[in-house]
Amino acid sequence: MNDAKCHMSRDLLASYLDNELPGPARAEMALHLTQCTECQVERDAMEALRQRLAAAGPHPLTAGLEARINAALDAESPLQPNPERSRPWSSLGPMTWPRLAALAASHAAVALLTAGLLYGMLSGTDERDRALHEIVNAHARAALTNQMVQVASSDTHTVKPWLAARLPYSPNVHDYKPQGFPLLGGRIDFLLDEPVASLVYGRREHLITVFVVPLDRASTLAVPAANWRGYHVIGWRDASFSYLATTDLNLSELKDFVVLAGGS
Amino acid sequence: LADRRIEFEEVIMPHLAAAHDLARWLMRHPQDAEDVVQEAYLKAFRAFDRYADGHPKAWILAIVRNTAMSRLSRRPASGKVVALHEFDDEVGGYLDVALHDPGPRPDAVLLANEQRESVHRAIAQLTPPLREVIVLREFHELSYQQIAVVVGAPVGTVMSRLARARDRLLRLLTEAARAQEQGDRSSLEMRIKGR
Repeated sequence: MNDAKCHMSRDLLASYLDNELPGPARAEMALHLTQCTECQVERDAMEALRQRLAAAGPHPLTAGLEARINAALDAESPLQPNPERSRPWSSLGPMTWPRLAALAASHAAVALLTAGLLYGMLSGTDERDRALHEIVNAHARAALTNQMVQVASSDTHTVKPWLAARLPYSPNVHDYKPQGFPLLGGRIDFLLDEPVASLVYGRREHLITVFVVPLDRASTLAVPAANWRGYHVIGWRDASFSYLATTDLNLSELKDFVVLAGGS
Repeated sequence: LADRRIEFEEVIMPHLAAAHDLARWLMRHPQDAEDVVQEAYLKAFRAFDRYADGHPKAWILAIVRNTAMSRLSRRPASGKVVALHEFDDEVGGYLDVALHDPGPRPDAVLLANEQRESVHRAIAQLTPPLREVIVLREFHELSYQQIAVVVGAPVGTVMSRLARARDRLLRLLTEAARAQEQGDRSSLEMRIKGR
């Protein structure tokens, strides 16, 4: 059946080729296509065009654009830092924050800090900012001075007693090496003048530190997660402790780690 | 809030390549396109609370498009004319490479590049309303309904623009192939005469 003038609308044929036709109309068009030379010619032309377009493809994503956007999103942090308010590194003299952050990032350090105690002592945005800054700073300082771990061991039975001997509590210590987050060791940090246990984990060239604080000092963990200066901080708690993680690792992998460690 | 960031990264970031491509086609300038994408992603993040469900790709692409449009409207008047009628910077770049730097590349690579260039050049010659629908459909596989959301037009309008875009692309590519053939022939004839 060679229709000299086809009665099917071109929109209908296009919809069919674009997979936009519902069942009954789709079947009708499929049948029509077996019979109408005019529509077959049109279909072949459209398929050829589609193949040429697919072969050409879109513009490739520019290298660095994703990092640039992530940095812009970081600047949108829920806890807007006020650099005037915190002077965490008086001992480091002229070291500026960007330099510090860059150096720490080059050490690829990820610190997981349990700082629930901070939130028990603090309230309001200013105090939360201060807590956040101390958490990130503790991590950055350790990375900067190459003191990520004071006890270097992947053995939980080495790290746990070392920490317990120096703190009024004994944190739970787990290794997540099979899942790609090997335990590297531990150290003691001071957050708002209170000593806390800090566990350090690795992820490729990045490091993770977890701060573990007993609940009686943690009070309420008002801010479960934040971002400052490119470091992500995520907090959670279980029956015994509250935990805070901070890292320059990407958020998605940090989240994987937090889930592993019992957060959500 | 950090939960929101995580969700944003999981739901919206995967569409960055599509967002960037759409911005490139609309802005016709690499740096402008990147600026548009960044601005759009910040806007999207701030509005992410209000984003309920729906189709995340269409949602972010609509924001990219609106951002691009408002930037284009702020461009100087001459810029607008350029945006409508001139070739993309990058396509111009392609052309230069093809003409002046044949290089030691294998024929197959050269041919693939030439074909890619001619297709991109043809798309660049479409008017923006036709260009965006064909890009959204063929490169980013949006449905008619999703395209309608992104470009803010009824589905019927999307369909007729798609049809016109395809007709025009077929004609442009056929013309380009014919011109190429004639160019090849005349340069061959010149070489033969020259001997």
